[in-house]
Amino acid sequence: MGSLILMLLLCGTPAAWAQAPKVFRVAILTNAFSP
Amino acid sequence: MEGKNVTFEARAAQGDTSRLPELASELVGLKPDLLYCNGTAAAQVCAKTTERLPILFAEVGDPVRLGLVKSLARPGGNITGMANLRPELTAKRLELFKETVPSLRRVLVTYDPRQPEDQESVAVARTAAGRLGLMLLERPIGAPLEMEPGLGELREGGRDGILIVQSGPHLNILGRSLEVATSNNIPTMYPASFWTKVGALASYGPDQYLQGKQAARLAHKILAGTPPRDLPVELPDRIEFSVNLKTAKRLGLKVPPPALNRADRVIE
Repeated sequence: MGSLILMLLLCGTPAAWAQAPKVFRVAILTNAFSP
Repeated sequence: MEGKNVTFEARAAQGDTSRLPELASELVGLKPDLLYCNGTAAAQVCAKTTERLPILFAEVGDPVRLGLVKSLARPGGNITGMANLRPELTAKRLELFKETVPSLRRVLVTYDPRQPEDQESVAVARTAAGRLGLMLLERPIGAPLEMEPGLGELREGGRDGILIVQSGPHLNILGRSLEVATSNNIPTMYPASFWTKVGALASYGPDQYLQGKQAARLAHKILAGTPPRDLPVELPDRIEFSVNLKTAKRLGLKVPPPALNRADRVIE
């Protein structure tokens, strides 16, 4: 039980977890020189 | 915001277009939500590498003529982006060069004949040069060292100049031309104001910062779920003419007031 509470405290509630914003991944290709 | 809701994975070919296919395959293998390609060569390679992932391009002259999209209004497929009108702006660029340096008689244009947009830009420059009474010194090259004889033909004094028709680092035409122009006192006309800030005499072309903002808006729409085929290709919001008066002074040139009045940006 204690570990479940700890997990909820660390990760937030399951509902909030489901609403976590998506992190989009953008790939970039250029013929230029890298910065 | 980077790191919060978006992450970036970038690959740069360091001016060597032969590396682009390998780098594009590597990026496609990462299964990104969006593939952003900067420059004509990169966009062409990305389009060949994936027909599934959304692709956004920038710094491409005419994407319809290159076969990247079916039309500007309805791109079709998995790709859209920003067209920079590179060949179309060449005539106006040469005209403004002549207005900025009225003594101009011979203009060197170095280009890669393997690049369709280079060829097209030179053809536009040729027609404009005839109209303006200028001699166009056309020098096709296939390797960076091949541009040296053409650059060596130019003499200081305001009769000779360099017109740049490229926007990318391919063959290092932009960088090397400016080096020689600076050491030999030759006036130059570039396609972007970045180059006037670093010593070119003048530039005429799309505002690159604003182009980046426009591309970011398109990227946002694609990431929010709009397929690229439904997003028309955008043209630059703003085309700017820029003059560097410090360079003019160093070259011993007086820029006529009408040209200065037309400039959107004057570096003093």
